[in-house]
Amino acid sequence: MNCAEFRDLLSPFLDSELEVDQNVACLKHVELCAPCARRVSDERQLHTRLVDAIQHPLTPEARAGLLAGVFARVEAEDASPPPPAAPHNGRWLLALTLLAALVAGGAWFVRSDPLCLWGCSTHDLLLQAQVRMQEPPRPLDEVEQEIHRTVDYPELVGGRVSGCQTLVSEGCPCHPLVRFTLPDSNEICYVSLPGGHAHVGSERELPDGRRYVVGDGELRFVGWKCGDGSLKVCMPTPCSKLTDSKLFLLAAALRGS
Amino acid sequence: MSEAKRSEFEALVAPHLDALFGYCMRLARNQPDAEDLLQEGLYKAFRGLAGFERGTHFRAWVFRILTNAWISRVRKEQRRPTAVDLDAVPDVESAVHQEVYDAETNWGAVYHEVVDDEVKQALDELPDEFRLPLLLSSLGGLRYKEVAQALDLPLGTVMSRLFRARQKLRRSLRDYAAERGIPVTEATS
Repeated sequence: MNCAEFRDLLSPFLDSELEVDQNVACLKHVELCAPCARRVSDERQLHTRLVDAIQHPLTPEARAGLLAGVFARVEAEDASPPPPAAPHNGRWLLALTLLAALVAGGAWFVRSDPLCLWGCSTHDLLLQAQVRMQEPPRPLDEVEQEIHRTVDYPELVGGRVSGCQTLVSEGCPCHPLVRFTLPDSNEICYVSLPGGHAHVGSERELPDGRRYVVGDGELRFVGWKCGDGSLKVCMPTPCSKLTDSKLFLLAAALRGS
Repeated sequence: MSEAKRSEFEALVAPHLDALFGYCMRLARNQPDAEDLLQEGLYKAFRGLAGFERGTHFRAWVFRILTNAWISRVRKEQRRPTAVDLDAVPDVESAVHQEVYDAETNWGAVYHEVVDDEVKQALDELPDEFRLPLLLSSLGGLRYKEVAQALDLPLGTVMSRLFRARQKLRRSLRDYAAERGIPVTEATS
């Protein structure tokens, strides 16, 4: 284990949350590495300092009074008569509740992937994007003429737009896919879909609290959800040699532009 | 209310009362509100005792009830927990790699010199998103999984928030110490 690997495990190591083998590896590293040993000592001091400062022991009288207050409240409530039953017929209330639940469930389903309304899904379109990336790109203006609108895409400093493609499923709106060629000749594509992320990947969080989405299984991408519910996705070509971390940084650059 | 149920509850809760009160003090930030919150939480725990699975971690269970009582109270008072401005954080790349741990700082001296009120102030200044996981983990002694359950958050989110909470706390304490003229940097030879 090196220092970087140790630092990744530092918090769970200090909180005794590691598996036995990882814990043993950390202990060995600390034994051999003076800077990391000092870091552990500093972190433990912080924990002790924090816990010491915020202790608030209750006096015996306060403890007794607290519990007595709880039991007195329970006894008083148990001794009072139960409230009269509601005069209304409960069936209407039940029916309205069920209806509201149905509407809310439907709204959630549509929100999680609005493309379902057209009989396709975000997952289907991203699979199709992988196939399209294997075909030669088309000129951007040709696609714009075909779909009768301008294709919006973020600037990628250091990359150039090499073309465009369209993602279409039966009955589904057309979504342009913009292709970028990187200085190392690798290619990525950028696509914005109205769908949510529920069925295509896992949502994760950076240490700074910002969320992003990564593809699962057959789908390799890094994406992010926008305020309007759309999912912006950055995907490598199927034969790309991009590492995951490079893809992540490219997606971050596209997001930030 | 049966005497047996009352005795059982007293026996279960007694070892944790000090920690629970400390938790309430840091949530409510004053003693009357903290006592009120603790009593409310204990009342709910007593009423819900039938739902507690014997043999599971009582401490985590009762901390979870207190946390929910606090969140309900905040909502009722129309006071939302302090929001985190996610756009105000550094850019993604530096957020991933930047680690606020300054090896030049004499952290031992910082922790030794800062006073309890400064530690409390640094903690109180943390947004609820960071303060609650830190309190549940450090003061409550809850496992990550239990913190995640208490706050209804994914495990990874709890871990990243704990990491950031400690970073922020450390930075604040160092600043307090420096403001008071305490030498926080180790002398270089």
